Order: sequence, then C-alpha cells, then structure tokens
Amino acid sequence: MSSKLTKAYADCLQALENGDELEAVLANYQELADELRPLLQCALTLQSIGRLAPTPSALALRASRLQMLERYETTRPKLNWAAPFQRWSTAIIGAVTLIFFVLSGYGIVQASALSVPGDTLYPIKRTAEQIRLWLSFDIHDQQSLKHEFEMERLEEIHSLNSQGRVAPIEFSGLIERLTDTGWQVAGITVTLSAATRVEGLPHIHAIAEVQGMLQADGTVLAETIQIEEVEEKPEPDNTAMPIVAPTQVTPVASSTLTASATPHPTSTPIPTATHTTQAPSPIAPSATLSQPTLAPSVTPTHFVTELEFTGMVQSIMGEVWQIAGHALTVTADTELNGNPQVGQWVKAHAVWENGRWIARQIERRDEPPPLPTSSPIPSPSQTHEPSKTPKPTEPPEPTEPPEPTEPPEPSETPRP
Amino acid sequence: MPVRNELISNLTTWDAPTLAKLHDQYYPAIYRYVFVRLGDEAAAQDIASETFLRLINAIQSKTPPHTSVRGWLFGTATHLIGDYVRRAPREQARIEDDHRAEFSTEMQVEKRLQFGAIRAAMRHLTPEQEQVLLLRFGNGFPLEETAALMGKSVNAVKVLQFRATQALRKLMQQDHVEQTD
Repeated sequence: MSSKLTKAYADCLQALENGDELEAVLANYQELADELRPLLQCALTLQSIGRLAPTPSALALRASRLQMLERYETTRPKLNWAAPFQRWSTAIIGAVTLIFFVLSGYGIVQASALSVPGDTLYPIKRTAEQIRLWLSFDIHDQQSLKHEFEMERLEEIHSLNSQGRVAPIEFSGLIERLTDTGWQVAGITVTLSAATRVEGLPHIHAIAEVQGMLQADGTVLAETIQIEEVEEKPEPDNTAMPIVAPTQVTPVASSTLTASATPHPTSTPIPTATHTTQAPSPIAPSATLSQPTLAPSVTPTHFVTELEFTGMVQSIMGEVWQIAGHALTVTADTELNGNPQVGQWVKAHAVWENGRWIARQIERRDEPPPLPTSSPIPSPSQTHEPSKTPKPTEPPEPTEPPEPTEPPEPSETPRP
Repeated sequence: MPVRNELISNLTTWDAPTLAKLHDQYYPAIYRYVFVRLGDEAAAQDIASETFLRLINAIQSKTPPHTSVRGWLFGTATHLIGDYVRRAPREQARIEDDHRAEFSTEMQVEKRLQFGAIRAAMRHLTPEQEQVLLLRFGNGFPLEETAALMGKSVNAVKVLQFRATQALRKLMQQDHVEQTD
C-alpha cells in the first residue's frame, strides 16, 4: 500500500509540474485521493516557499559577483605558450621517440657526419669510423679508411679554425718543421709546453700523432705527441735527397769501403762493420755500387750507417739537433767546433747507433755550401772502374806464392 | 521557483563574462535555499558567495562541473550549510528561534507567518528530508537531478520525498493545533 501510495504521489507531482490541476490529477487516483490530496496540498505550499523567502539585495549580489570575479582573476593561470604542447605532450613524446629510433640507425650516423670535436654527435661519428674499420677485413681497405679518417681530422681542425673554436683534437701527419717554439705537423702549428709528453724521436718527415687542444688562433697546444718510426725504403734513384736544400751529403760508407776497394788478390776482402747495419735513412749511398771487387759473400746494401753532410741548424731541442732535416743526437762525445747555433751552417758527421743518429762532429761553417750541380750520387764515371783482373800497383811479395782460392769473378762485377 | 539549467549546455569556456552571468542567474536561488535552511540572512549571503568562490577554485583546479552547474552549486551550498551547522550549532538554534525577526521588514505579515510556519515545521525534519523538499518543491529540481545531487536513486528520492511530505504535513498540523489552542 505504502509503495503504491509513494508511486501515486510521485506521478501526481509530475502531473502538477506539467501544469495539470490538482483535482484533475486526483481524478486518476480516486481510491487514493483522500490520502494524496493533503500531501499534494503540502507540496504546493512548499513550492511557494521560494517566493516567500526573501530575495538577496542587489548590493549583496554585486558584492558576491565582484568577489567571485576577483578570485577568478587572481587565480587565473597566466597565458602559457607551452599549453598546446602540454596538451599534445604524449603525441610529441611519441613522435620524438619514433624519430630517435629512425635516426638511431643510419640516419644518426649521417647526422653526425658534419660534426666536429666538441659537438654532441662527434663521439657517434668517431664510433662509426671505428665500426667501419672493424668491418673492413681487407688490409688495403683499412689503410684507405685510415687515410680517409686522417684527412677528416684535418678537415675538422680547419672547420674549427674557421669558427675560432677551442676544442680537444687529435690528428696525425708528417713533421714538416721543428723549431724551438713549435713544430709544423701537416701544416698545423703545434706548440709544446712543459706538460707535453713526446714519445719517440722527432725528426723531419716522421709521422706524429698529436693530441691536444686547438686554440682560437689555430695552433694546437699538444698534450701528447707520438712519433711513428716509418720504415722508409730507400729509393734507388735517391729522390729523397733534396730533403732540405742546399745539403751536401757525402756518404761516408763509400770512403770506408774504398779502403778495402783494392783487395789483395790473394785475400778475401773483409767488409767493414758499417755494411751490416741497416739504417733507416733515405739517403742511399750509391757509392756502394762502386765496389766491384767485393767478395760475393758481401751483399752491398743501400743503407748507410754514417753521414757527413753540410746543412743549416734548424732547431736545438735538448740533445736533439735538427740539421738539414736530420735529427742528430748530440752526446758528450760529440765534437762541437765553432759554437754552432740555430740558423747557422754546419758540417755534420753522424753515425747510426741504437736506432738514432749520434753526432760525432758538428763544425760551424760561415757560408752555405754551393748548390750541387749534380747528384751527389757518384756518377758512373766517378765510380771505380772495376777491372776484370785486379792489378795491384804494388804486388805483394809473399814468401810463398799465393794460391787464390776464390779469384774474383768478373761476371759478378756490377755494371754501372 | 524553478531554476533552469540553461548555461551548462552551452558552457565551453569559463571566462569572466560567462561566470558573471552564471552568478547573477543562480546567486538568488542559492541565497534563498540557504536562507530557508538556516534562516539567517548574513549566513545566506556568506554561504552563497562562498559557493561561487568554490566554483572558481574548481575551475582553476581543472575540476569544473561537467553535467549540471545548478546541481553542483546547490550541492556545494548544501555542504557549506552542513559545515556551518556543525561549526555553530548553538548559534544555528538561536537563529532558527529568532527567524521571524530576520525578515520582518522584507515580507508581508501574512506571507511571513506562512513562511515561518513552514520553516518551524521543517526544523524537525531530518536534513535529507529538508533537502529533498527544498530541492524538489522549493527550487523545482526534477527527480533525476535531485537524485544525482543527493547521490541517491530516483526511487529512493521518490520514497524520501513522500515520507518528508508526510512528516512535514504532520508537523504543520501539530503546529496549527498548538497555535489554535
């Protein structure tokens, strides 16, 4: 009954809200009309309570409105240009992630190709180079890549120079000049400080691997310099001669060999010790070719172990003197004549010992030597003409007739 | 007096002109709703104003009303009334005892007596009964909106409004008998 009355009451209220009259509404619920009528009359009375209640004053309304708008203005977030990006932050993050993965392969390596030392992508560039080297199994390809990368290092330095940037760099190249104040390596001026660590013996045309800091003026303050000893193969035509002109090189080897150039017909010439040592000098003492009388067991070599030449003192760095492109080590036994200084002409005599040239004598010359009009290589006319049968001017007089066991074979005599 | 929920359907931005219009439309209804519940003009002004300040806070904290601004405003006002009653129950009782004097200058004598009788009877209802009667009959809330505002089902609101009306009628009858006696 109660639920039926409750539903009827709600339906009657709905009808009244729709504008129906009270009696018309109750006509639909005659059996409940006596109970519904007082309740509906009460509801209609309650509807008047809104009209009965006092309305707020205009002053109170305006004060409330003003208070609300002030609160709105004071707490309103200021214009935020990043708001649209924040709204799309998820999409932006996703897009950036996708781009990263796309670039992380081939793309990012390409993006790093133009980077220079100091750039964010530069380590990626160097790593990519190392990977290319690792993936190159052919020795020629590796050498080609190394050369390419060395050129790239120099290009990077030029690029940094054009921007006046200071950055840690490393490069390698031929030593072109050695002075007291600095070196010239691959066209780049390298300055040395007390903290600079030099590994190896520097000399002109040696390869130096330089690590240091590129300065704004384009010079490199070296931290470490590693000298690579190049296994130079002497050229038979002696093209390496004009290292620093004018320089006269007189291979001493020829003179030493000359002493035994006239072998006794009854004895086997014993080569001097200077023949047995290989010296990595580009200077080819072609005079050794003029030893036709050597025994066949003696293999003429293009290497020399003694040098005697005239040239300018280019630098003096401690015990290492740079003379006409040759790095000579001056020891306590070195004979210094005339107090030679940098920039002065000297005649030097050095021997190859323990992997370096040891200066025996350095003698100051007041004037530079005249330019050689011909190659220092002894011309064929200057060489000793071998005779098929050596004829000693003063034949020995042995007490017993000598029995030459190994007469020189004319056919082995080299033809100039 | 039914309060139409016209703004909410077109409300996409909470700019100052929109808020001012919203305020002017609903402030009187909120004020009267609070006044009927508390019978205090100053409290009605304070709570009505605070209701709109709470609306600004909700907008700035990105939690504005999503469906019914009117329901949100009346619901907030109801909470504020509850807080007010809890904070000052004694003062509330004093105000209700003296409610006739609060609006003597505002209303005609006959209307004032009628309003006073209803208010006196409603004082003895439960808060939910009082709320449902004021929302349904005092402010014209339909069943569905009343149910949403009070967090009840429509059927529960039907039962509640029926029992509240019964209770109020009985109270008013008793009051009328006491007055005639």
